[in-house]
Amino acid sequence: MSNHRIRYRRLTLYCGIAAAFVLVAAPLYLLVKYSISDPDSINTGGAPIPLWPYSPTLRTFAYLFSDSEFYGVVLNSLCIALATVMLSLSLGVPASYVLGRYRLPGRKIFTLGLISIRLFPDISSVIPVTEFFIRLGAQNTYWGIILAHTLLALPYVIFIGISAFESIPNDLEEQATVMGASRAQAFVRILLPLAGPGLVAAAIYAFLLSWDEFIFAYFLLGLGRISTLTLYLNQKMSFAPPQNILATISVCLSIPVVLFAVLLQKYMTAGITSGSVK
Amino acid sequence: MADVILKNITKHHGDCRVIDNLSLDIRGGEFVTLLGPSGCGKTTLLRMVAGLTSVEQGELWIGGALYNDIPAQRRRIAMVFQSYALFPHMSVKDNVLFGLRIRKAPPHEMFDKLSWVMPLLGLEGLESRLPKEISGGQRQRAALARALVLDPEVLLLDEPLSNLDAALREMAMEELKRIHQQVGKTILYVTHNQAEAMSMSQRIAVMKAGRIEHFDTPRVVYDHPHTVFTAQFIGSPVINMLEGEIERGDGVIGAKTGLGFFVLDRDRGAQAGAMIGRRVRVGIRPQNVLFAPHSAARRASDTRIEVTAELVETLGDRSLVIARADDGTMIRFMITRDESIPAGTRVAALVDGRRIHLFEPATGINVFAGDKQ
Repeated sequence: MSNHRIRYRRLTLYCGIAAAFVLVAAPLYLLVKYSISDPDSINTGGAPIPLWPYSPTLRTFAYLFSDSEFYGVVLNSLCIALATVMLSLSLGVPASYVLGRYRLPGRKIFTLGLISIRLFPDISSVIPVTEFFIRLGAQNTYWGIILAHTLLALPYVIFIGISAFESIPNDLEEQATVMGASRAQAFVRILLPLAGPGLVAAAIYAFLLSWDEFIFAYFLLGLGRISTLTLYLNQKMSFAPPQNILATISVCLSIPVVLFAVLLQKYMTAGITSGSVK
Repeated sequence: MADVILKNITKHHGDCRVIDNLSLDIRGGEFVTLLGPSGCGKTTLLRMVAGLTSVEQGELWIGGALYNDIPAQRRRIAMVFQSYALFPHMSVKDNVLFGLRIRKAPPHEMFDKLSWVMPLLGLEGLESRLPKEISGGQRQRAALARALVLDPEVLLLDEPLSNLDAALREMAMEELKRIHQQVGKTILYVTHNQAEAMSMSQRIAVMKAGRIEHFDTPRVVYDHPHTVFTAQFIGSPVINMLEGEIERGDGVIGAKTGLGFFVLDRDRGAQAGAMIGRRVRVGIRPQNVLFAPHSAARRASDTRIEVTAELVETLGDRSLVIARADDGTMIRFMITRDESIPAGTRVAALVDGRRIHLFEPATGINVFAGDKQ
């Protein structure tokens, strides 16, 4: 292949990457821009909306943070998400340990089934779940929404957990056993630390899933006193407030996502097992 | 310093019989090697002693106690895996102390053990390194240190040197031997490398298809191999195997082959007197064929052969000659670096009749197996 063609190919590649980046980044840019816009940069009176606000301001953030209702929903979302993480890990880690380390009959089909469940759209499963939860008296309760979010997160946690436990060489567990460790000790001292990065990734995934979950929250909590950040945003939208307030709520909603994306990257590179087994 | 006794052990993996009615008696403090090709069951046997694989049939005795049903974590046995199985998230020191911490050993004991084992294996200064931060040789030694601090009754080593390069392997072999002399533990060592087995062990158990072919000192296994398999597995280059027949000739008894008539020494000749006319497989080690361009037979037991050199492989200070006799029989023998044989030349050599081995063609068992085992 000639030098010329290589260069041409590379150019197309870069153009593609740039286009994809713009496609993803443009809405985020608009979001951030609106959240720090002064009223003049939004209501321009017919003049074109500027690419960057005339005088950037954090006034909208200040306004939002002075609203006690906003604090309440952030706290709610946070608690629900953390509880979802804890519940789905305490159920998912043992499950994935067993599925990842033992050749159980039917484990392939079970894993496949687990993931297939999550292929159904949430909107189709939310009706029966809501009906069932109402019968249990779980609507408008914290434990109801936590259970629902765990339902959503668990298949992913188990799936990520399986690959985390599977990747640990058998020798390590056997070595611990030969050295006198019980199965529980080998689990706590060897397997858990080595599966750690994968499990952290699973936890982050569960957190984010709960944090920005809307459909189940809407059906299970919609009419009650418990609100979440996503419900709060929805509620504000129905009153048609200025774009900058909606944008600011959305930015707050995205903060953990950005935060964890950075962390996730660090934990996803699971190079920690290298060096144990040659 | 516990003895290990295996009695009539059998083990299946599915339909496959991995260990076949095997018995083995290892004395306390002995360095025994299980030697065999991959799939011969040697690692399975080792894992059985460790408690990682169950004993299906038969008995496993360690230090006078029946161990069949004692779980791995309650056996006082240490094992070094082929992969070393160092815990990647722990420093060398934490790896070495892992077993003691599990046993809840007091701090002073851990300190004592650590300050004994680290210099013993040349690991000083590496305490806080992670396994991925040290070299292959150091990993191997760290794994050994981790096993030794537990003061095990039996030390199991599963091909611990196979991941090292040749120079390092030789050093590690010397070191293992030295450590065995110092700590005097019963060591059960698994390898497929006959040189490792020969140089380190006090006794070698040659294994094939779940059975023990020959169990004896390296010297006896080399000099009096029980079976064709043992003869071929032990020694390098591989022993020559020829077809022959036991015959009487000129007042002596020997084996007639395509290369000539090999006279047996008197003891074995007397025994072979009862086997005249029997077909045998004749094993001749390349080392026992002496390149002799000019000299005639020096001893009564020497046989002069004439062959055509076909290939010469340089092995360093010696070379291996692959030659063919007039009837097509192939033979391999060694020459020194000072001698040279161009390919295609006709050469003469002397075969030492005292060092030839005769085997039953059907069973592969040494026809003299009765006297030397």
